[in-house]
Amino acid sequence: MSAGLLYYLSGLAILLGINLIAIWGLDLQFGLAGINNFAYVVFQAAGGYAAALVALKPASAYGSFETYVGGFNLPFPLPLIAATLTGALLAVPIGLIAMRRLRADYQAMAMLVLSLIATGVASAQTGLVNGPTGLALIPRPLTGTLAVSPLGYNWIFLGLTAVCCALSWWVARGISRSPFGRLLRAVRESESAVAALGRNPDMLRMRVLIAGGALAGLSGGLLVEYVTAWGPASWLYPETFLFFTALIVGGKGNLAGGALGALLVPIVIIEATRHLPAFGYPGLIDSLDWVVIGACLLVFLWFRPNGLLPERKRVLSRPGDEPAGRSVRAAVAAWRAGPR
Amino acid sequence: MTEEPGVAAVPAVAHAAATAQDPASAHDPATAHDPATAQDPDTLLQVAGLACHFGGVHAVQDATFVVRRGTITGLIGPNGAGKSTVINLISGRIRPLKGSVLFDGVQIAGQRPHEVARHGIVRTFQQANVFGGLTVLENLLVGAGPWRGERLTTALGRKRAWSGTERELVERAWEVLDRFGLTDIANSYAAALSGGQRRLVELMRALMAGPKLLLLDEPMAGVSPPLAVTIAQRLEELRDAGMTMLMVEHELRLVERLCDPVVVMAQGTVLAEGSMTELRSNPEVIDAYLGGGGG
Repeated sequence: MSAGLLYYLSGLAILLGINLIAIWGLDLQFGLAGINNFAYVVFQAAGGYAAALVALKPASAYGSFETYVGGFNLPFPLPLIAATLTGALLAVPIGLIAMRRLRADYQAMAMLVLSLIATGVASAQTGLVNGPTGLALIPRPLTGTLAVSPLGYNWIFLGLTAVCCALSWWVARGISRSPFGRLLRAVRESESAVAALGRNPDMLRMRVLIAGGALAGLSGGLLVEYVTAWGPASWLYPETFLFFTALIVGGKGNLAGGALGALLVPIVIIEATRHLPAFGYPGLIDSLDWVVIGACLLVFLWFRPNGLLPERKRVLSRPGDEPAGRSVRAAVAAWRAGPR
Repeated sequence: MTEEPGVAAVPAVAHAAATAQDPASAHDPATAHDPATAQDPDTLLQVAGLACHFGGVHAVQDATFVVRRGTITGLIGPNGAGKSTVINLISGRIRPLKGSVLFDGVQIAGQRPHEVARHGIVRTFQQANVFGGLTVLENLLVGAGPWRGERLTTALGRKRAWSGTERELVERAWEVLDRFGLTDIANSYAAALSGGQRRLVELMRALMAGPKLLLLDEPMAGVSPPLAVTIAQRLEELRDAGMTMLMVEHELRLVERLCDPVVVMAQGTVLAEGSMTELRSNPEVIDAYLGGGGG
């Protein structure tokens, strides 16, 4: 394989990993807890900006090239940690504004409006994050200390992404298999019944908004560190629906489903169309991407709303009555118990 | 509102045994609010002067009654009498405009639903409110708690931190299913069940919470007659085991079988209270609700 192709494929794998983290975060919020977080991309954007501002030198270091607040010039992994924390912390104000005292459909609307406002603020406040042009020259992790080829660096970054994916998987699986996750699914099914059983649904949703927000922030941080630029055009509200489509196509409430969706929608659909022979006016194919994604979403909502890999049923057998051979430990226990 | 002489200022102790027989209608809200009217030990729930309105409509005005320990207290009345609203007021789903709800000596009026539930009041809903996308067992498991395993921090830790208690809860849930004879639907999605089965799931889930008081909002509505009999049997067993319940119900034969005393509401106020036999000979109740069939 040529180095160029490898470079392309490794870059694609990095993007897949970043999308995977974002989609698992959304799965916690939407798949598990049923929150229609139409402001999801804002969490990713906030993480991206946090990573950028932590990693960049102060604006004066670049002359009058760009203007922004902060610029702390801190080394890896601090930008990524800042991105994760920012995504988590952002959940608090957004949760308080959009989730209290609003019915689910109005929550979705409030979230969407918040997303539009965030884009507006980031574009209009030019001193904040360099306005509509966005931030550039964002340092990549470890670039000063590693002397490797661009392809070699891609492999290293891919390794970093894989570690982040593993961490995110661990968080998402821990939540979804735990009694906390069960409670979140209960909130999704009936908020009033959860409250009638002594749990505060607002607090439960807030917690999962924070957990999912942390993953979104981390994915944003990784993305910005990889592409080294970040502006309002990178996180317009349709990006949120890209994540939703991926999750609905792959299967919400199922980590493998989220992974499949992350592969199919942002990578296969978006990337495949790049290799189409050009037709129509310039930009037509890009616009058609969104048409295809919208159509995909509708088709799945109509014909397969649970996705390709639907949420798995959690079958619980009577303790002491577990089917033999399910786990090594059960098999050993059965062997020790002897013939019945 | 009916004012009968002598019932306005019922002293707490004299109230104890007398209430059920007393044709006590509405207490004077002024005395009901008086902190001096201490709760007698036999009373689990004391509702006094409870009122709320939607827009200009008085849904409930001055609802006053008690629920004694170990009884199934019935709450009946014509449509629009405010029975379900009373359940919603007690359970915190609707905030009362005024009035008091004393539960086991604690004032709970105006608290939010999850706060009320934590005092030990668990309710069921007029439309069976199950977690459709969860299995029956999982529904029951959500009933138990709150406990440590439901914290985010525990979820992010090792499975061993919660798996032990979880196992005990699963065991308890299976016991409840055994008691209700419903082990065959243990791993079915609640959404796949019939209306009557959902009611039973709701009831079992409420029991997993270990409540002191069950609020049942029309537990037999939309249930096939044989299943209604099953539900009635379960409620009787629970009462015999010492559970206290407040139950809204339309089917008077079931009310007669299960409930004593019965509180009659009409137009947002309490009209009368007593056993079904007594109520059948009460002209006001006949007029407002029972119609020509009584007497």
